[in-house]
Amino acid sequence: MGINHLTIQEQHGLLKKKEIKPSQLVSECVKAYEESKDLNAYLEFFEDAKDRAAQLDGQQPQDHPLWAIPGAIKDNIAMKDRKMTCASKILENFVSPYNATVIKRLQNAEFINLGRLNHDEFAIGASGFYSAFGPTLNPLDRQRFPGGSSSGSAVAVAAGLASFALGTDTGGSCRLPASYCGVYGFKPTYGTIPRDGVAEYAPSLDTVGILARCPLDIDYVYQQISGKDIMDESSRDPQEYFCSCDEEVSLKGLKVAVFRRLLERCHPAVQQAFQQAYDVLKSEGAEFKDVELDVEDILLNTYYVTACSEASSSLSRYDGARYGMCLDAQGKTIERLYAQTRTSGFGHEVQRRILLGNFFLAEQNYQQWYAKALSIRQHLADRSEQLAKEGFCTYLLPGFNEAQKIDASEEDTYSSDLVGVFANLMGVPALALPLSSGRHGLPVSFQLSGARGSDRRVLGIGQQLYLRLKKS
Amino acid sequence: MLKIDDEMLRALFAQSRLELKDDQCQMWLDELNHWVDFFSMNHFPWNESTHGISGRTVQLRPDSVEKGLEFSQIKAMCQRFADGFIALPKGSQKEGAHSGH
Repeated sequence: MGINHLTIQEQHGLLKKKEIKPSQLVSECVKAYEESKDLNAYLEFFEDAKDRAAQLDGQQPQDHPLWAIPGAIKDNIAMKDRKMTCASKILENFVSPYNATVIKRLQNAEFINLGRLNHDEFAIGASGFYSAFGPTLNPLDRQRFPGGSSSGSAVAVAAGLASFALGTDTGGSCRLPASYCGVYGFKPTYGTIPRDGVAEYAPSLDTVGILARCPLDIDYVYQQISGKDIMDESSRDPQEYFCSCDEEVSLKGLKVAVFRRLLERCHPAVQQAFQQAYDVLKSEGAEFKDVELDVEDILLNTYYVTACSEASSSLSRYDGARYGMCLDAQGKTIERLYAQTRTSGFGHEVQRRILLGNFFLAEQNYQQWYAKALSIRQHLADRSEQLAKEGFCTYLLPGFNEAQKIDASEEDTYSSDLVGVFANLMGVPALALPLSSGRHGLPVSFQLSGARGSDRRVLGIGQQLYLRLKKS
Repeated sequence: MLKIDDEMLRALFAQSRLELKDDQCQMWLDELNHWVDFFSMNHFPWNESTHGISGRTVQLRPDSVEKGLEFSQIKAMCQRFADGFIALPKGSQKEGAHSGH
């Protein structure tokens, strides 16, 4: 196994002891990229990454764990003077005039930016096949989806093309592809990682997520990019939330909420992975409580009604007049210009969600769809707060089954979202941990989650489980 | 269950600022109605006392009853951002206006 497949912790140790140079690490990533271009993980591999690594070769290694670590960024996050396409034709030639806050914060740690990663157009999709620039392939089995929407992020980490990647997670978009590709995927508490410079899909659900090779690596990145940002009024420091727990957590006596009715809906392989995690926690002395939400049947519907409704508004800004693609306006009314640009620039899946969103928001449908979805989210938030008051700040959730075959029906790919959307609807953190292998030898995962603000606690427990399960 | 018909489909396309070609009408009707069925929330009972937002039922305000914000009001709100939410814009003390917190 090459150094490009080590964890950040291991890579940092070697860099610090000067046993490897930044340029060696980047060269290994470049080599892996050259050998696996068919995966289509990168929309653009930055040629200047090698120059940046060479500059760092001449410097004294820093203590920061992300110093000289190669990372890559989903292409819906703004990087100054770089293209930002959102994997859509409508933004094909758009160049970002500024850096997203998360990029500025990563640059402060002197990471090496390897490039822009592929994903489902505007982060809409769960397959990795809805990019305008071609599908991303799963390195574990090219006949199966890599998962989406952060497909390139998961594939880059899994194939040794980067040590970590940023993605976005609106309804499982980091955790699902991470699980399908056998790496770790995390979504934070809503608002703890700022979204200034991140293209919106469904703003009340959108988060910036992190993918890496272990929970500790995710925590390194999380610590660097989280925290309030003056440019994003929805951002918060994690300690501002109701549950701001200590990072050091003992599994003995840990109070864990379990949502059995979610588990009942999962594939037996997912139930098995869940049980393995349950057994480890139990053997370490954790206490469990079964929780019923009364809305398990309708979580997926709630998510899609909310997401489509918000997407119909968020994506209305792309009209050919302000950003990116603009068709020849001669002899056309402005309305016709908008319609032609949008029809030609957006992919079919994006158009479908915009249309559905406008349907859900129509005056005659609003109460029956969107308002009902909002009320269910309120109910979930209330339940989460109630659990925290009872001391149950940690949730054990089912994860994702093996990656689906690329000829799976769309209903099947939607159904796999069920366990992903839960954390987004509640606004809580969630970590997907690939654990066992399914019938086809591919990863099956479980999820750790918790009350709002318990991000580092979730990652800390995740790291403990990772180490214990690795031993066994 | 409400179904999308031809007229509603055209209205949705216009509202979404997308073009609808005549030969694609049926395809879109079938597809959208399929997903409207798939995401239906009809089987979930609506209980105003337990499922309102903060105890209130959410109502959509019809534009025909009360007009939306006018340009001068939007400008005043923008100024409010510039003032760091310290001062309320003039004439915003009507019912429903935020206190600035």
